[in-house]
Amino acid sequence: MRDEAGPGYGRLIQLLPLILLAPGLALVLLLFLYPLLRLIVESFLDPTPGFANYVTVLTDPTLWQIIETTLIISAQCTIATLVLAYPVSYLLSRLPRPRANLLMMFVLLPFWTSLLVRMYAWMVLLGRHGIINEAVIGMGLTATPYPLLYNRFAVIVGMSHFLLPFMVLSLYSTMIAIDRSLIEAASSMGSSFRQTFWRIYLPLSLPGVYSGCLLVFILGMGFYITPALLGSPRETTISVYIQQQIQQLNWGEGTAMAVILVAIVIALFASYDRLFGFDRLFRNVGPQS
Amino acid sequence: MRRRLPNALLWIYAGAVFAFLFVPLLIVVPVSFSAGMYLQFPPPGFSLQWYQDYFGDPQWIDATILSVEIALCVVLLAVGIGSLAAFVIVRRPFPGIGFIRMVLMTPLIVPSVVVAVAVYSVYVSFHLIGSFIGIVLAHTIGALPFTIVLMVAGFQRIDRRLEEASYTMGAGAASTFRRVTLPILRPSLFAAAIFAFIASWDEVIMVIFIGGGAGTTLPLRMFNYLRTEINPTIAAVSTLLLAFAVVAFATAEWLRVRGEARRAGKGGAA
Amino acid sequence: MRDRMGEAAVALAAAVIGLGVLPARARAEDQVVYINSSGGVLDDVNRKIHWDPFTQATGIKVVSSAPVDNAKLKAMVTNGNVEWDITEIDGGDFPRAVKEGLLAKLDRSKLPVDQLPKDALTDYGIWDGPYSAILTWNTEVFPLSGKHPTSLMDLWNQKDFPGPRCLWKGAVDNLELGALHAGVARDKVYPIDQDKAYQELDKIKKDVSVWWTTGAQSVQAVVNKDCVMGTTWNGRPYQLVVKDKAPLGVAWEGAILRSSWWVVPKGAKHFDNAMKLIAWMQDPQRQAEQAKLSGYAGGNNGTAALLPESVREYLATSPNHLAVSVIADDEWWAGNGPAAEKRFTSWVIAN
Repeated sequence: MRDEAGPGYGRLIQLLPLILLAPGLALVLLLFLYPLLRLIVESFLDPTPGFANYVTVLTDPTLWQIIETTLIISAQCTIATLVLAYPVSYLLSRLPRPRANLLMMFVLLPFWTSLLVRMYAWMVLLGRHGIINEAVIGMGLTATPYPLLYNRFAVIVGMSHFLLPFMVLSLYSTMIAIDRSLIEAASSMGSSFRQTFWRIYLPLSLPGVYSGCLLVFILGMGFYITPALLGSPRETTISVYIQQQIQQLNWGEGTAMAVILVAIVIALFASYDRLFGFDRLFRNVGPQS
Repeated sequence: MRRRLPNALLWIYAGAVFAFLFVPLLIVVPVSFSAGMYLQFPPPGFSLQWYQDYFGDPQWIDATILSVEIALCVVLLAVGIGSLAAFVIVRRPFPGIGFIRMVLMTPLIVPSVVVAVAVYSVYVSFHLIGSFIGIVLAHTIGALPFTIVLMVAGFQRIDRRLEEASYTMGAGAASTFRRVTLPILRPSLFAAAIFAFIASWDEVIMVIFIGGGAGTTLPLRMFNYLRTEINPTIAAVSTLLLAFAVVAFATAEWLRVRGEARRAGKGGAA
Repeated sequence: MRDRMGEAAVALAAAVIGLGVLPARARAEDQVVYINSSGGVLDDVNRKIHWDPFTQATGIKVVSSAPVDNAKLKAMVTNGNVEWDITEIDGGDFPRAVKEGLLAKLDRSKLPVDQLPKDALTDYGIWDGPYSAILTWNTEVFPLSGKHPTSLMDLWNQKDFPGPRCLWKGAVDNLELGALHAGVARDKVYPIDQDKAYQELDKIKKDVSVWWTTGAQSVQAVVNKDCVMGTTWNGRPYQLVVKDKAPLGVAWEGAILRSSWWVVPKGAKHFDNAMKLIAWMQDPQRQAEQAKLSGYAGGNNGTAALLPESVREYLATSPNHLAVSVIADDEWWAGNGPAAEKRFTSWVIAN
């Protein structure tokens, strides 16, 4: 492998990033990993030493139902945001920089509104006598209001609304690096739009798709405000359930649930890795000889 | 050729998505000017009372300033550490780096209540409760997953051959970094900064636990109000934040355009 | 929190090296008391009516914080870092906190014991703001001039009052309502026969369109007509109807009365100041002023008499309301709460 630091620089420069990274790692270790491990140990000791908490939690059918619901909701949001974001990111990547920046600013604008406030705005919009229903009824399209709120639809809408910019940005950062000349070369050789897209553009955009989906899915797993406010009880997510345990001072059970949650996500992450390959994410994207 | 049709469809699709993004914001703005006492749409009358509430109460202003300060520090730390981590992951992977990366991503997965409870005793030992730096550190850990993911994508985009070409032409490491690597990284850095800011900005649970109560952040204050009331003051605060964001972005854009126009006189830009 | 940037740089270095970081607040103040509550608008009322006058009268500064968080209370006490001298705690969590040894015993000699109802004061806590789950309905759907709901049992009455309902997303209050609808007498509700209660709740489950989780949401849903009637807490409809002429009506028959409590965490640093402030907040005159602003007041017996009719109509502790309310049994909830909530979650997510 070529000496990337350039000729003449020694081992020290090679190690420099690692040295600089060390405090950051120490930070995470000290203020995150170590406390969590301590809490996990507690979950094996409180109230009595043993696996009691884990047994209780693992044999609770409600928990598994809730985990399943959470996974499904996250997956639905991931797909929804991908479908919404892909064309938008593509468009942004094709525009001249100033125009793209302007539109990107608009994409990020909703973040300046607190999540809670947005939730209440959705309630006003989606309610039985909310704006959408009033408009639809007023236009005579239907006689009875659509159930748009306090159900799965509202939760997906609310969560996707929050998660969309993450997907757009992930996709965009990869898409702007895709070399236009490849596309143009393909079409000049007679390739149709569909062929060019499927065989050239899509594969090149995949790193962005992977990291975007990963991010959105994991974020989706952690949502508790949106499902609680916009969903029916069937949209109870694992984070809500864990939070209930913690607030009811069942720290042993709550921690056990959190451990199981992390285990599940890590397992997903690992199989994602096996299916799509971590190396893909590490390999440089761009024209190779 | 095949450009025209996809473009029109694309614009319509994008327009629909943007409408989706903006619609809740559009609700918030008129409500902030509501003369009524609760969340009604359309609002019954025009009034600036909620803005007066916000500007007249030093607690709101203090909370805002504190949140901004915290978020800016978090951006610096999270982007810095995240970039270093991404560099190591992409350029200098070693056995075990996958595990480290997983660990750095875990703050996303573990519910923040659990983290807060776990972290409390450590914070007590280090006397970090109620300290500014304590909140910054906690938020930084929460922001790292975002910055790492974005910077990893950013480093991947760099075509090594450009850097190698730069070395062959005699540039040193620092120079190459500044003139070749950094400009390519800039969009990712920008994105990472934005997400780090957001990750800190809306975070409430850690602040409740380790914030010490003496200093309240803006989202915490809004959270407390929203749990008991839906007071349009919140809408006023949100509208102000939106307005601020618009102005900030517009200014940044204007400065950039000016800079580019000036540079255009000296020859092609990137 | 002065000179944050400079402090941040030093602290970061110190933390990295592993030394302790100096606390940002000076600890030498004695003329201060730290009180924690739900925050928001109720905090503003408390500050105006109770806390600022307290500081004026005694010279003791009142520093408030929010929100109420039981997990934080436990974390504080078990780590010996008690930041609060007084905190609010919800009725359901109060016995649990006592059981876990998180609270300090109150000094009853400092409190006007004879002016309070006997339920309002225990060794470890005093009523903060009794509140009731009442029925709130939309008067545009059921005008006051015509037939309108008069009791929480009307939740089951689809014949006279058709439409969707709103209920609290949890076992609390719903079990009591189920028991009442099964015909159990008000004073025999506890211990709650959960099977009977769920039998009754099954009858209205399909009518419930909103299972609310915040007070604001419960009332907003009725205003927005996402439900035509539902359970809410008594303070918010008061504020909206009296001040803003919102189209809401309330009914008290079958209300469930609970209270949040002021408690002192074990190891509080300013215990004497805490007792002084708690005593101060029991004054009936000030409680009456508080009720006028928010619809909630403390537990003093004399408070209701000082209020005009328009406010008493919304007060949980008005004599005519107490006569038709179920007073919640916190002890039962402390013992059976977690299991009851789990059962409720299973019931409510099932089809």
